[in-house]
Amino acid sequence: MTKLNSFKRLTDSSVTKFALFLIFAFVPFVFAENDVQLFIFWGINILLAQSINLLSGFAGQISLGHAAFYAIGAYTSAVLMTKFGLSLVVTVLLAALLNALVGYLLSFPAGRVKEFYLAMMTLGFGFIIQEVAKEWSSVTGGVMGLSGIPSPQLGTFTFLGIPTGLAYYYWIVLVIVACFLWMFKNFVQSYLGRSFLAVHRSELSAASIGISPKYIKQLAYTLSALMAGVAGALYAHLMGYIGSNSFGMMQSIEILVMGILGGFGTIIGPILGAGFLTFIPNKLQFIQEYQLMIYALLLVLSFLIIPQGFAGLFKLRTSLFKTFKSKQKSWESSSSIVTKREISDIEVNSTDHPLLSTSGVIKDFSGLRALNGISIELFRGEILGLIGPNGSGKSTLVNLISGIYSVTDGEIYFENQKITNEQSHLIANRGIIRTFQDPHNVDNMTVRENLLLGNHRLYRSGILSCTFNLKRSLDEEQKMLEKIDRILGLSELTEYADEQVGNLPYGIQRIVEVARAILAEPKILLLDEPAAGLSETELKLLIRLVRFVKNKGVPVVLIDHHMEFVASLVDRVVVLDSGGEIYSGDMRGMKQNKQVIEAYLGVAKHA
Amino acid sequence: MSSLQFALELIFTGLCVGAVYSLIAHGFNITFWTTKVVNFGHGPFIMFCSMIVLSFLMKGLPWIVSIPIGFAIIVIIGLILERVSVRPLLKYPTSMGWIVSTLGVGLFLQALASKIWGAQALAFPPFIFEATDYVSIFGIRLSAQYLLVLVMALVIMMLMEMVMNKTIWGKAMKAVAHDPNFARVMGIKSKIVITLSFMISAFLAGVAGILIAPIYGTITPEFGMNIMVLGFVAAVLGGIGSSKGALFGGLLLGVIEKLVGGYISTSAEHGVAFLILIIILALKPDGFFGVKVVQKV
Repeated sequence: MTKLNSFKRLTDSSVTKFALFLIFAFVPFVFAENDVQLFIFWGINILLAQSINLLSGFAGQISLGHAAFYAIGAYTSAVLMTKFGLSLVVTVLLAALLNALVGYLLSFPAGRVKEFYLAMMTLGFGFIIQEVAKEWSSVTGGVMGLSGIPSPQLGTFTFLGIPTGLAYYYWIVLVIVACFLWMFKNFVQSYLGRSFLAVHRSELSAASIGISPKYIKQLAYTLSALMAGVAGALYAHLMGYIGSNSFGMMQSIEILVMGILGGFGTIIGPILGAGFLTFIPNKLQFIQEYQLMIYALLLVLSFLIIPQGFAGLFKLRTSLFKTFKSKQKSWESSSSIVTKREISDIEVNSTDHPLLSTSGVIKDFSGLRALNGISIELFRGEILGLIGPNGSGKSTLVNLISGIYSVTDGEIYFENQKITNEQSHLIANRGIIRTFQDPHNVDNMTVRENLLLGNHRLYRSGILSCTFNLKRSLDEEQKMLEKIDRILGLSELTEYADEQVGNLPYGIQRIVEVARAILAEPKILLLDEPAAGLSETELKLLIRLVRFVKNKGVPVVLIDHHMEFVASLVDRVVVLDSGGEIYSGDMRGMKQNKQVIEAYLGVAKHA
Repeated sequence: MSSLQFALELIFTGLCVGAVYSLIAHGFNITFWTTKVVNFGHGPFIMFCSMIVLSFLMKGLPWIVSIPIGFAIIVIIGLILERVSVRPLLKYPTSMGWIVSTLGVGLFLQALASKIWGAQALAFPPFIFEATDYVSIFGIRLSAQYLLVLVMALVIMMLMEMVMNKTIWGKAMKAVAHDPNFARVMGIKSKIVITLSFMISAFLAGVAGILIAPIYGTITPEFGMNIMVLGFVAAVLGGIGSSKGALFGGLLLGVIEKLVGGYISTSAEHGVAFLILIIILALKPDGFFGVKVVQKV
């Protein structure tokens, strides 16, 4: 463990990275021209692999037509340089921008579909772009391709007016790749990077903590296309010639293999994958002959044998938050501050007006009426129990309030504003936070990272600020990490903080989800069967967490079948049966209510 | 030739090519029913079967022998695909595993075909009729070869429909499609039905390959992937999982393609189809006859 930690510290330190950069800078002095060219290819492939990693590995949007972006970048840069004589700095920039635009536009149709629909769509997109490259011969040179592009290999390339040989070109590529990797790491370790993985895991649960899946996908397509565009531009100038055959389906597949083989969702993985596919086929002749077959077999087998790629094999995980050197304050001291604030909160908030109300809400599922005119009101600082037999409509009501289902009829108001049928991430951003019947954490993220997701809606820094590690975003991240530490202590999760949630016991996973919801600083908390499957100690912990929320003056809606648990917390209950309300009032009255006993609690002689 | 005649001929050829797209779409549907899996190696299956048949024909074997051999091989490959790329990967929550893996099997076949038969285009002989044979109806010359393809595709689809609705295997398949766990409780061997669905799907790919190859005239190792996406467009157009939709979507796509080819440019034919795919997925992903899936929480 300590060995692993020290290794991790070593690879994470900026000194190591700078040393690596210097070592790579010496490549042209040590290796022959052919090998330098291979290193340049590695650099280009790293950009491509990270591009698909961002889109498929992080945001979970599969792409089988990634060569299309590569092609657009290559042609744009080549045409701009040969026809207009622009400098590399300008052509790379324009190629990247044009690609970003194409990616942004593609995100609209692509963002609406998932899984194999998306896979087929991207496959088709790849075919379209290749067809265009083939047919639009006045610009792209058609099947003959585009030759005469200034190239360092032919000695026709100049950079900022200086004739540039292969070695200089290598350094240009090295600097560009290093910059991109630095920005990529910063981005991935920010709240935006984490939200990519949240959308990957489940758009539904991402939206429930205020992440807009649509926006995240737009961002993923735009940034991914941008990176592939830079790679394309660098490729065009390296080769001096581009033809439509270089950007066919096999190129798309190669990009995909680099990402999968290296390990999606990490930073080091695609670098290794790109290196593997750059050097191995070139150094081993027999592989070249069977290259396609070997790629195909890698596709078939990699998911079966090494589902997490090289990165998984060597246990190299990229952490998704930024670590800070300064030691954080212990949570005890800060929690006392919280308590003080809670008390004042209650005083300010106590009013007679309901915070949330539904009026006559009806929900039909193609002929089946799941909810029949439910009107409830929720006041500040109270815990409302929502109980009833399975299928009575409890979860449906929560799904309507949180915007997952659309309301058939009736209205929902929050803070005197109508929120009926609003998109669920907008509702979450208003402060209505929910949990699910089965925990919707991101399994391959650690507890700490999952809790940071809860904070998502509180982050204010922009994309650039995150990508360039500006002070504003670093300060914000540090502040959030302190909040996490506090809640970690409160929910007794500190010992699990850096373990992946998927590996933890079920009960802990539930607690993590509740803690995540609390970190979103809800104005209303909706808990859908939080106690199911919890042990006695975990149950006590849950009760403590719910009380913590209540003490802050935040109302809670609690669905559960565990009667003792419900009784120990709620101020008021609403009982549903077959989509209708049959009782509303306190627990004691409910236990004596005939209708409730018949529908739900059961009669003594049956028990 | 009058312009009306020209248009009618385009529509006719569109229907014939479209019938093959329908067959491909049916192939997608069958595995989609049982496992919600769409075989991304379907295209190379189409290519591989026609390549095998062609290579036996060139060895001097008659059609009647070559075709069954081609079918047998492709059905076995379908079985292998299900065992290697689908069954072990269905347990993962994301679809990326089986998409990538079935695609890998397809690409392997494609690479294998280039190794065995070379990457260049091979001439595929006309089937039963000569390429120049034609039937004349109302003054429109209909190629006999095309007509044969249309009729055979329709007959096979009708047979499939009968098998699915009348036989016990078809009913078992529908039961598995509806709820695999419940089907197992009722004594249906879900796993066998699933395997069978992949074999039938591969068989349909083989049929599509043998029907489309004489129309194209030449075949290359790459033609499968392209036509697979067209078949998928047909399936999506009609709504994935719907037999009626597959038939309708295929015919519609074929006609649109040929009209675009005739009036605008033949090189735009496939491009238009891919464009339709992107548009239909963006606007109406469940197609014309598809069933809207209710999101489960």
